[in-house]
Amino acid sequence: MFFYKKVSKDLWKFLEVGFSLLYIGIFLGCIALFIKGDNNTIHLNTAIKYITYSFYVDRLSLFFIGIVAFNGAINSIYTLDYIEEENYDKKILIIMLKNIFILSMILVLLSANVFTFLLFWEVMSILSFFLVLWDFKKEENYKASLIYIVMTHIGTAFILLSFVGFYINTISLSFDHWQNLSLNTFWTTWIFLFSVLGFGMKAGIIGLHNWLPKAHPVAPSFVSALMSGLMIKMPVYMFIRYWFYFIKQYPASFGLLILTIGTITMLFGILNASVQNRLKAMLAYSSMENIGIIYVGIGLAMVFKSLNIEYLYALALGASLFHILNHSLFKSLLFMSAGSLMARAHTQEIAKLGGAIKYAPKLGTITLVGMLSLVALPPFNGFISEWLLYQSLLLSLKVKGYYLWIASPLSASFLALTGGIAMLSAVKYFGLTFLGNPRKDIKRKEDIKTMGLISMGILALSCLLVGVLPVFVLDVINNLIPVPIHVNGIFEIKTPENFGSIAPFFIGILMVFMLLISIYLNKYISKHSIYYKTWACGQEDVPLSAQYSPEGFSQPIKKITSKLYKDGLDIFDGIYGFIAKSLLNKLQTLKYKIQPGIIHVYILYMAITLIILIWVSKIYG
Amino acid sequence: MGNIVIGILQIVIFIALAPAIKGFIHKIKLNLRGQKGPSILQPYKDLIKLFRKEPVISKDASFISKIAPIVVLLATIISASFIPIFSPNTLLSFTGDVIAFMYVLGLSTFFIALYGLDQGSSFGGLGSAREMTIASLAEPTLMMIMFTFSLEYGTSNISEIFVKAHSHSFNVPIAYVFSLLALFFVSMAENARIPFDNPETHLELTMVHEAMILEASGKYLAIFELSSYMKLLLFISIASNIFLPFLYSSNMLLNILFYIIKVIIFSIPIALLELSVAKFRFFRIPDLLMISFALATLGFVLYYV
Repeated sequence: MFFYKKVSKDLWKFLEVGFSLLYIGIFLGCIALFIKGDNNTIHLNTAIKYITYSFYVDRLSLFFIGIVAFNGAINSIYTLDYIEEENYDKKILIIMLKNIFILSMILVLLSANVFTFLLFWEVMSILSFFLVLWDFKKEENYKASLIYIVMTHIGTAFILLSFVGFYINTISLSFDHWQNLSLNTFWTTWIFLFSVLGFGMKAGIIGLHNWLPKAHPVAPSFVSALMSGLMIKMPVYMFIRYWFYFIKQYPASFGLLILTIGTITMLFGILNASVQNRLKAMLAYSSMENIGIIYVGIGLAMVFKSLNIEYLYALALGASLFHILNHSLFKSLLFMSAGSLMARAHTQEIAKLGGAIKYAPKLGTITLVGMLSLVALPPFNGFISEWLLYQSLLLSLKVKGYYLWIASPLSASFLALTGGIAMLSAVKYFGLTFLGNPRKDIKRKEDIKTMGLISMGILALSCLLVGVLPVFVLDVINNLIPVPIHVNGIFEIKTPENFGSIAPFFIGILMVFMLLISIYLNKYISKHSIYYKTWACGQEDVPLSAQYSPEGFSQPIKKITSKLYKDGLDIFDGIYGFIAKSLLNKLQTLKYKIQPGIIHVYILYMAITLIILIWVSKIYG
Repeated sequence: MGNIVIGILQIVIFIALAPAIKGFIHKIKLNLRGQKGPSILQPYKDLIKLFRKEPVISKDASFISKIAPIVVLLATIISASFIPIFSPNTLLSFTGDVIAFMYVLGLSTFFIALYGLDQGSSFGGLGSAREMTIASLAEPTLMMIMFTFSLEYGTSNISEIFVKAHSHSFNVPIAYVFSLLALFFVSMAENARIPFDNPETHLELTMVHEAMILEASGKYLAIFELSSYMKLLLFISIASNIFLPFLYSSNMLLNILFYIIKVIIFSIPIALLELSVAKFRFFRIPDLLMISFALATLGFVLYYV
């Protein structure tokens, strides 16, 4: 009896470990299948004639499934500690929701016909909606999840419309029959328009991103890690399928449009991230920035594909795929670390945090690694993908086409600006929460526990390893692109035409060397140093709240780009709010016209209905 | 093996020269103002003095305060080893990519800004916020200048750019003028000099770079000072080697001599500019950086006409 009680109390742990093992199994299976490289389709017929479950396995989907399974396994390990710290009431429920959510993502990636895709896409959307709504008693969560579910369904509607485009041209609902299509201009444009809107809504491109910075901060942290690290990559995967697998020919202007959207998205995202004052809101906007970076690569690859320049198409798409992997690693890591910090401080307002590195040095170091990857500093992983992207932008000058000569330097300049502001945001995020002194008293001053350390440590380590030895990742990505990115041994990456080369391994070694020297020197210097209080113009007892505030930190950039925010909010919230308000007003007046409250009008309606009914029954009866 | 020796020699000369250039600029400024001023060698004396003293570390500081100075110094040294000084055989020429150079230099900016926030002093935060704002707004200009060079020389490797700059003649000289002007603005911004910041003051209103390292003392301050001297020389070296690619001979000693002459030529305008303008109000700095971006874009666009 005692045993049973104990088991039922800890059942969620067994479940979580089981799922974690399942994901590890899937991950290993992915590697095996990837090496084998077969394309398989499985059809499962059902009793209903038109409904068949079809699953398709190829290297592209395996690449994404590998990412999902790896992050899923890590996430499950992390959850073991996190749920205990947060102490949710219904542990088994949240674990089941979360794990089915992860599995539904894997199934979305495997889907090979419209029905299967839409089914799992909806499961994914609805489960993430429930997970966002987990803490449903808070007004903010309720609103955020409502916006999320509405927007994601509008997105699904657009996706459905793009499927209609395919169906009309192929008379098939199976993705197998959609490969390498040459459609006419109208249908290509149709599919392009609705795929940009539909998948963009889920990915969070500019103008369609409103749900993203609202849903991510309110969801439980491990769910935010999944949503930001993995879920917003699913539409990107489908977008890549559409434009590099399904449709063969399209004008270069499509790619240029995606390039523009990506550029604006990343700049807008990071500018908004820099002015946020909550941990996870900053991370959410930074996800938008990274989606922008991914879209820049995809847009560039689309331009090159339509111009038939294979080696550049490969480079740009490779950069994008690499960034997808990198973002999933460091963003999961950062959301997890934010969650662990919030479990200690019980707030995500930066204005109430500070000095966390003193009571949680391990958490602080891990977050620093995540931040360094996020701002793409060598030797971490973000640098490699951004370098590849810069190289493909630079190389696009070799293409004869005047629009690229203007677009790519501007895009690269904005990418550099984005990188700069990302660094500002990272300094704000890390500097104000982990450094200095706590601005408010925190009761639970302790470091992360074993499981949290293992899970985040693995992610931090993989950020470093991918950054130092990106060659192994490129070996994988080279299978997904037409022309492999040139790799010299395990040390050097080269871009086409000997344009640029980089040896991340040596940079990494140098950096490690640097770190060792600094530790050694510090031992020496620390011996002879004096400890004294911080200088504050000679004042005694400066209150802790007098430290530099998050509002103050981003005030310069906020003032410089003041046109982008309305009352400190995202400008698109204002725009949509205005549209919704005027639409509701219109509807209200319309309602009063239809229902004026005069009895004669209602009698008229009844009479008309009666006449119509009689007429209909006359015709058909 | 010979290449590695040359590479190490370049770094050594670079580090040795850095304080002198800072002293030289200071000397010109003071002489033009009619003051006598300290000798050019004063920065060396300052550094030696500071290196001898023990640091005072804030009680509120974490390990970041101890690691940051050294990371900043080493990142600056690594990025210096990307840059050809008098020979294309730099220590890191095999991976000497312009973008990698920019990002390694970014590492030093990142850690110096973290250092500013580590002691919980509001001055440090002020400095970090301003420094990051200026640094981020200067990035696009640098990128645009890089595009111009990559277009001209067909490579993004700094050493190859160096070699080609010395063997080709200018294709579009006017584009160079605009890029040089833009680079001049950006290097003033990156190095916290007038009109962006005043390196000689500790007043709260004007503090950017100095505010971040306000808490540093002794050996740590020496390290910060040395790396800021090096960063200044880094930008002067880029400008002098790319925009004035003359007098490159096979004689190593002659090359070193010419390099020093070129650096001196390029540091005079900095002193002159610092004398003739006052520091700008902080919110006018974006305008200046915008102008530099426009100049860089103009330089780039001129390639097509």
